Amino acid sequence: MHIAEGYLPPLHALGWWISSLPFLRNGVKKTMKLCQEGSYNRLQLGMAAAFTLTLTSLRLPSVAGSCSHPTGIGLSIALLPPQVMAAIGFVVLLLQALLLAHGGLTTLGANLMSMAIAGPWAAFGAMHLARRFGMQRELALALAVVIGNLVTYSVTSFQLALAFPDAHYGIAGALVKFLGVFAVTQVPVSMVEAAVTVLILRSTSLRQWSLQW
Amino acid sequence: MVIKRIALALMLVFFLFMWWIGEGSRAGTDDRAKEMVASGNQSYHPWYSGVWSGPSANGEKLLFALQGASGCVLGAYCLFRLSRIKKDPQP
Repeated sequence: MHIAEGYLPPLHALGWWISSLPFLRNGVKKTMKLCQEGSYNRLQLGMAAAFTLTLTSLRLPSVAGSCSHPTGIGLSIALLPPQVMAAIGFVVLLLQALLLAHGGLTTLGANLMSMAIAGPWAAFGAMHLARRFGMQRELALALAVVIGNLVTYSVTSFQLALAFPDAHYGIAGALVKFLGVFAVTQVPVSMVEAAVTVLILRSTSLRQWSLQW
Repeated sequence: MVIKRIALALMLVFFLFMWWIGEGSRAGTDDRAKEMVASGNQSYHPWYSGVWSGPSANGEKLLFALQGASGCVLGAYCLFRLSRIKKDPQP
């Protein structure tokens, strides 16, 4: 989900931009380093970017008569270090903001923080934790994708709740209200994304993907 | 190998079907977010609306399809190159 242009107050928009910039800088540096390390890394990077580009273009139906976009973080967290998703996410979000007026330039920092920073890092952490507890690799990745999606939408809900607190119950009340819509919508969509990610990894030559990052 | 190809083909059909349903009358979460902000904060108006208001509904569908298609082309190219590298480990 993208927060639309102008739908965050200027100070909030600026705050999210400033907080996401160090991650973006780190992501760009890591991406450039990977590119210099060889063509295999470059191609894996291309695969991850293609996956994000394709999945974020889909609007999948969900419960309660609504629909939503998958986040497309699956291949990135399986193939690449999590920092890289900040760079990939920035390009995708910028394209959508400029060409489709979907999201926006003022809310790009906030959208980057939710979709390309918080989501991938949460997924990465979940995947490693699941593996440490002995979970099978594919299952761990599927769980990580679901958690990454849910964290992405939870952060978006928090960003909106912080900007528009409920008149009676404050930020917590608004957070529950936003989560009630977005998190519920995203659960089936995230499961579809998890299944697609695992299927692609198992069905292609990317099978040798590792968790060594 | 055949089973894997069938699984991929089925996945593609499933995605096209889901996309077709999703492009129907169902409200997107982005629009619902706007509605929720507007209903709870009637005094708030977006302070910036962008340099352009975006394409028409059909234009938006077309551009999203273009985005998806370019992702598929890039993915297919990378996969092809990766398989070549795998066969010939010294590119």
